[in-house]
Amino acid sequence: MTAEARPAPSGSPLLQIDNLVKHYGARGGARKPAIRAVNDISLTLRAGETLGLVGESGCGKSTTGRCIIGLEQPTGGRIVFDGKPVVHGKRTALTAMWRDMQYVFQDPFASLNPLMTVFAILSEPLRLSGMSAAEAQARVAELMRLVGLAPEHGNRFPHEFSGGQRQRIGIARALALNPKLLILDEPVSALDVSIQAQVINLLEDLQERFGLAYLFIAHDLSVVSHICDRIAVMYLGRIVEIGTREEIFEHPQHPYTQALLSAVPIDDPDLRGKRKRIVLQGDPPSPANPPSGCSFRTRCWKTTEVCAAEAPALEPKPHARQAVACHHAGVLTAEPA
Amino acid sequence: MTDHGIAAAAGDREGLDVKVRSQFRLALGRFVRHRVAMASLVILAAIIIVAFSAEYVTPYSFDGMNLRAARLAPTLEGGHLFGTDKLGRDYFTRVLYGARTSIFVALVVALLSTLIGTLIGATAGYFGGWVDDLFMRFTDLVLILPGLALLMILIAFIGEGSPLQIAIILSSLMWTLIARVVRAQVLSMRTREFVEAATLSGASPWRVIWRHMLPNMMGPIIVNATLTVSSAILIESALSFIGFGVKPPTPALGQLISDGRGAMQTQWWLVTFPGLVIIAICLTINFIGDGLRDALDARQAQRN
Amino acid sequence: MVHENSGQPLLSVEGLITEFRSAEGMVRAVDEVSYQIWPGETLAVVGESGSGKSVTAMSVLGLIPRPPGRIAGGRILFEGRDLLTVTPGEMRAIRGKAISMIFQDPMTSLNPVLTVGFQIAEAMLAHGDMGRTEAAERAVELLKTVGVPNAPERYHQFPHQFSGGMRQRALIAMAIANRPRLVIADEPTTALDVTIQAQVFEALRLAQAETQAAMVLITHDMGLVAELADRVVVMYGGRVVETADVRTLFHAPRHPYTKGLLASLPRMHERSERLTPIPGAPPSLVNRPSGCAFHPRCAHSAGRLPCRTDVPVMREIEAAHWSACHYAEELRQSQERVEA
Repeated sequence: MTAEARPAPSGSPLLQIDNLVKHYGARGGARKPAIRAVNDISLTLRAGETLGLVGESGCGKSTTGRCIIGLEQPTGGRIVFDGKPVVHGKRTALTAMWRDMQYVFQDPFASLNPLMTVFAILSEPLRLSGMSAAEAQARVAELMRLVGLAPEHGNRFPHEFSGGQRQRIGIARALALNPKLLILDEPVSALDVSIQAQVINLLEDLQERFGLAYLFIAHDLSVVSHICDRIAVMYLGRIVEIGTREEIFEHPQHPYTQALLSAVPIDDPDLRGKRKRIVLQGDPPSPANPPSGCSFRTRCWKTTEVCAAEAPALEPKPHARQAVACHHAGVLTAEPA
Repeated sequence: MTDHGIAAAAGDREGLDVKVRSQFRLALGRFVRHRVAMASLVILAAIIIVAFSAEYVTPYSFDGMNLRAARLAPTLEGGHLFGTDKLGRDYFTRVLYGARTSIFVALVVALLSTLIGTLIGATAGYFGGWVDDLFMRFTDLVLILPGLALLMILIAFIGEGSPLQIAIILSSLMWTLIARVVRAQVLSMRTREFVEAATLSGASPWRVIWRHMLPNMMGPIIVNATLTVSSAILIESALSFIGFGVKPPTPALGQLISDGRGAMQTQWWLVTFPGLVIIAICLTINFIGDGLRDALDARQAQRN
Repeated sequence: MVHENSGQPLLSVEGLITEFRSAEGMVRAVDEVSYQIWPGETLAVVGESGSGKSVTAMSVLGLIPRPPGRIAGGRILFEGRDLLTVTPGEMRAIRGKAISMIFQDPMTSLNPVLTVGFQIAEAMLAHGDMGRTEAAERAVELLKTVGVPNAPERYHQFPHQFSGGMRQRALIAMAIANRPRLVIADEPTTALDVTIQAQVFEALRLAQAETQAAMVLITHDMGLVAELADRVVVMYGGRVVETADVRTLFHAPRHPYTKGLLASLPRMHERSERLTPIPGAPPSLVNRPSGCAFHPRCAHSAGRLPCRTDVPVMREIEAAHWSACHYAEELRQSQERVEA
C-alpha cells in the first residue's frame, strides 16, 4: 500500500488519487502484453498548492494527468476531486467537473483551433456554460487582460500570435470558468528560452491571485524546482519519491532522483567537472515488459537480490521525511558503479 | 511600434506587425498561383455556363427534328457547328443539353455523397468502438458490391430515369470514398489538442465534430468531392451508354455516344464531340482537384 | 581549455548572408555572420528559434536547399579554402571526412534497412582507403568509444533496435569515423531525456578526446553550453550579437540579450521569488526590427535613437570579447546582478 509521506501543512485535499492504474491494449487480442503506463499511483493535492510530476518520457506523468481530467479512462483506482468521486465515461458529470478542473496543453500551436478567432476560442467555454453573449464578451476581454494580451486582438486568429502569446491564450481558456485546479502538461517546454520565464511568472501571478492549485507535469527540473511546492518523481509508471521541493532537491533519497538531478546541466562553467555526475547506464525498460521487483533496478548501482524479488513500497523512511520507494534509500554516498 | 521598456505583462507586441491574412486567403492565393488548375477552372466554368444557358446560346431545341438537314457534317458557317444527327437535330445543341444533364447529375451526386459520407465517416470515427465497426463494415459492404450491376438493377426497377433519380441512386453507392476519408481525418483529429480542449470546454460530441473537426478537414473533403464529380460523370456516361442512364429524349453525354456509335464510321462527329466534352470535364475537374489539394494542404501552410 | 586563438583558424565564416524566398519576398535568415573556430576547441553557437544558428551551420555544410535558399554573400574558409567556391563533388568529399555532422533527430539520419555497424563502416569506406574488415573492426571500436555496450553485438543490429540515446551515440561514432577536423553538432541532445542526455554528453566528450576534432555545438540550452563549450557565439535575429570565452560570457556578458537570457533562466537549488524574463518575443524573419534587432525588448536601449536606426557592429570590448551593442560598456557595472 502506498501512502502520502505526511500531511501537508494545511487545507483539505482538493484532489485525492488512490491506486490509479492505466494499462493500454489490455483488452482484446492478448497477444501483445499490455502497456502499463500508470501503475498504482496515489497522490493528494491541496487547494492552492503546486505539485510537480516529473520524470522522463514514457514514465506515465502525462497519462496520469489525462486520467485525472478524464481525457483517458483509467483501468483502475479512485479519483476524488473537490469531495466528489470522478466518474469517468459520464459526460455530464465530467462536464460539470471541468468547470473546476482544467488543462493547459504543451504545444501552443496544436492546442488552438486554427480556424477560430481568439474571441471564439475563449468564449466557447463561457457560452457553453450558459453565459449570455454580452457577459461572455466582457469576460473574454477580462481574461485576455489577465494573461497579458490586448483585448482588441480578440478578432485575430491563432497563427497571428507568437508561441508565448498562444500559450497565454491557452491559459486564458483554462481559466475561463474560474477553476480550482489546473493540470499543466509541460506548459513551457515548447517555448523559446527567453519566453519561458514570462509564462512561469504569469502562472505564479495567477495562482497567487486566484488561489489555484497546479498539477505541474514537466521534465525540466529547473522549472519544476522554481514553481513547485511538492514534487513527485515518476519512473516507469510509478512514483519513486515524493516530498517537498527542499526534500527532493536538497536531500534526494531515491537513486533515480539522485541520478536525474545530477544529470541536469548547470549553467555555470565554473562548476564544470566539479560536480559528481551520475551517468545511468542503458535506457528505461519498456512499460510493456517491466522488470520484476523494483522497476529501476536494471539501471541502479545499488541493486541487490531483494530489488529483483520485491517491489519497494512508497513509504516514509526513518532517516528522511519524504516517502521513497527504494530498499536502499539514502543520501548519495557511494559512487555509482 | 511601442517604445522601449515594454512591460512584461503587456505581452509581446510582435503580433502587431503580422499581416492579417486568414487561412482562406492564403489557400486562395496558392490556388490562383497554380496555373493548370486556374486554366482548368476557366475552361470548366465556360463549359458549365454555356451548357446551362443553352437556350440563349443556340437557336435550336434539343429535340427539334429537321429531316431535310439530317446527317450534316460539322461546319463553321452552316449553322451546325457539331453537325446534325440522323433526325436532323442540331448536334451542338444536343451536346450542350447532354452536358447540362451530366453535369447536373454529377454535382448532385457530389453533394449528396459528400453529405452521406461525412455523416457516416464522422460518426464512425468519433465514437469508435462498435459504432465504428458497424458503420465501417457497412461501408465495406457497399464498397465491394458490384457497383455497375447493382446500379443497373436499381435503375431498372425503380427508375423512370429522371436525372435527379439517377443522381440519388448513384449517390447511394458513391459516398464510401468520402466516408473513409472523413473517418480517417476524424480519427487523427480526435487526439489533436485543440479538439481535446474543446471537449474540456464542455462542447458536446456534435459540436466538437461540427465546429472543430469538420472546418479543419474541409481541404480533403473538398478535394474528394471534386474527384467524385468526375467519377460521377464517367459512371453516369457509362450507364447511359449501356442504356440504363437518363431516358431519352433528355440527352446525356453517354447516351449521345451510345446512339452515335453505330454510325461511327460515317458520322464521326456523333461520338467525337460528346466524348471530347466528357474528357474535357473530367480532366479539368481532376486538375482543379490537384490545385485544391496543393492549396489546402496544411503541411504546405507556413507555421510562422 | 583556454585557447590562444593564434595561428590559422580551422573554420572562418566571414560576412555570411543566407536568404530564403518566401511569400513575403526574400528574407535574410543569416545576416552578415562571422565567426572563427580554432583547431581542437568547442565553440557553442547559442540562439533561439529564428536566430539563424542552424542555417549558418547548414550554409557551412553546403546543405542549403536551392531554391528557395541562396547564399547571397560572404566567405566560408575551411583550412584556408572557400567552401562557397568548391564544386559539389569536392564539397561531398569534405563533408563526412574533414567536416562531419550530428543532427538533432538520430532516427532520420540513419538508414532503417541497414545495420548500424554497416553504416559506420560504410562512412569510412566511402572516404578512406581502408579494407572492409579493417573498417568493420574500427566501427566496433568506435561504438565502444562512444559508450555503446556490447559493441560487437550491436554492430549487427538495425537502427530500430537502438534506443534514442543509443542511436545518437551511433551517429556520434559515425561522425568521428573518418577522424574529422571539425564536427558540427546541431542540438544533439534536445530530443533526449535528461539521463540519456548525460550519456550523450559523455559520448561527445569521449569522441572529442579521441579525435581532437574541433566542435561547433549549436544549441539553445545554456546548461549544455556551460558544460561543454570553450567559447560561445550568441546569435539573435540572424546576427551574431556577442562572442566570448565561456566563463566571461556567463559571468560578464556584454550584450543585453545575453544578459537577459542568463537572468531569465530558472535554476535548480535556487528559489528566487520571481524570474526576470525578457519581455516580448524573438523577431520573425519577415519583420525584423530596424537598427538593433533586439531594441524593442531591450532594457538598456531605453529608447535611445541609435538602437532604432543603426545596426550595431561587433566591437572588441575587451580582449577576445566582442559585442554588438552600442552601449556594451554600460553593462560592466551591472555584472553582479547576473552573478547573484
